[in-house]
Amino acid sequence: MPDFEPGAEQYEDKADVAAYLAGDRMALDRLVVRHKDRVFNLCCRLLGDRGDAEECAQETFVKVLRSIGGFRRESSFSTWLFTIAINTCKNRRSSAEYRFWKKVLSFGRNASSCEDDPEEFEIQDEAPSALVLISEKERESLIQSAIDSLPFDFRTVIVLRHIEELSYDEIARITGYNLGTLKSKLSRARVQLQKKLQGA
Amino acid sequence: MECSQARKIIYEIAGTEADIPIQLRDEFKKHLAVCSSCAAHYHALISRLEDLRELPRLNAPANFLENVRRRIENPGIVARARNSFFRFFGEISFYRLAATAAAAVLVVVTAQIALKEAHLQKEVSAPLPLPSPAMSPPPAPTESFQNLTSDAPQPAPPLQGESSVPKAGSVPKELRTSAAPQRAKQGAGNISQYNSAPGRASPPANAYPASGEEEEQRKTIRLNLRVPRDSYSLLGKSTAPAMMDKAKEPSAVAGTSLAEKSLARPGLDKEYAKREDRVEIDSADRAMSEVKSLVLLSKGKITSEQPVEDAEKKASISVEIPAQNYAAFLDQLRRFGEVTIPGESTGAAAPQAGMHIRVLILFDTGS
Repeated sequence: MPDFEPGAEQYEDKADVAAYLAGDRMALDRLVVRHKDRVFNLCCRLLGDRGDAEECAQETFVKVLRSIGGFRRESSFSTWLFTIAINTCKNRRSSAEYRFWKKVLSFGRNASSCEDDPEEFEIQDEAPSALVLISEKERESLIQSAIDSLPFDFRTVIVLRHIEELSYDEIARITGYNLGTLKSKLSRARVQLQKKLQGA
Repeated sequence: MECSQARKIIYEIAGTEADIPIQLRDEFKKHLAVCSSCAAHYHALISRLEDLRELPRLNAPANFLENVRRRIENPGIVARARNSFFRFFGEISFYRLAATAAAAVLVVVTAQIALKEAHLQKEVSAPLPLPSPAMSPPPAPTESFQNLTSDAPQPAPPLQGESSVPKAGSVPKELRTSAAPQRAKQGAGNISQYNSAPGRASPPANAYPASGEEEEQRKTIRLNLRVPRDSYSLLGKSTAPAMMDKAKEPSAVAGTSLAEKSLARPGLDKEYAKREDRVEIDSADRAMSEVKSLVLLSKGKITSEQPVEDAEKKASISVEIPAQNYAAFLDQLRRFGEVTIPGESTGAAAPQAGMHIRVLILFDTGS
């Protein structure tokens, strides 16, 4: 669970941002290493594709580098980073290139889904049986498909709330919605998600 | 709490019980305890949301940091162009851009105006061609004549239906003696130089060696000089196309009676009918000598002269008359014929003091 409350990680972020602005090139590497998995996971859940998620996650950090001088530190670095990541994914989804390849590759859609990490297919002795693993993969694939079927704003609030487990305040800060709008969107997103997963 | 009320808040409460008011949450739980349908619906939703929470965390690829470094150090062409664009225009404020654009527009407009004025000045100061004295006079197959143009800004008005007049400031005044129709056919003289083609006005071949300032001090007017049906007479001829065409008509030749001419051009013959101090000239030489004496008496000067060699050739003379003596010069010239100025009933222009009137007189010794 990401730590959006003031804590050790947030202090480290602020220190690294200040160090990078002072000329420490390694500070950016530390920021990337600290947040890359969280950003990648968010992008993958929002886009539903590992390749696109990696592309958007990299683009997110490039944008952070370009605009880190304008970081006002009114919010935490994580909140700012998530805002950039969500906007990058949104732009990616609306791009013509993304829509084109989405249609072209729709036939083999599951071949590159987020749940197709080959590392997760490694079966060890202590692991559950192959049947259980396949069942879990199917369940995850169904859930991801249901998320992908949601409108992007609904998807965003669902992912931030129920996968990233952020608070309402943090989600409102990231998305820019006020609290009432956020709760309304979240409620309608749950209704649609429930309908999608009704038969699963 | 009713089922309808519970169904309304079930999606708001699910997974966010901590954010729900305690009283509302207690009522909702009491309803779930008594309503199995709502309870099943609620637990199914909670289960789905738990599935979301249990989705595995996906880790970034191992070379993620290297890829980010590479993208930062080697941005793509589009990214470089975008960065250059924003770097260039980001440093220039809007007001500087607007001021630069306004200055560029101002420079272009000023240059266009300057070029236009220079072109107009070049046209005004261009030397005026003058017919060569060595060349024979043009044909003059009409008893009515007029010439020419004015240096004034407005061109002289058309005469007797003329639709076209020479360009203002480009053609000097000229006078010409009357001629027989056969002489008009022979004419390769000055008028023909003025008009390369019948019916078309063009500047004289030779240029006045006058500067731009001298041009301003001179005034060219159009004259109509009509003489009686004598053996030798003075006539002026217009270089205007319509009049040139008319001059070639058989009815306009010397020898036609004044009554006939008056029928053709009644407006021009009224003054002629009233004149009584007419001097009849019996030769072109005498006419030229009279005109030269008149020029000298008027304190003018003769700029060029083409004397009469034989009866078959035409004579011409170019003179400049001071403006203050020009009226008297015209009065004396009327003794040899009729002088009219197109567009002016008085027959004389109103030149300013210090100016010179340039006049070209052509003598046509008809048989």
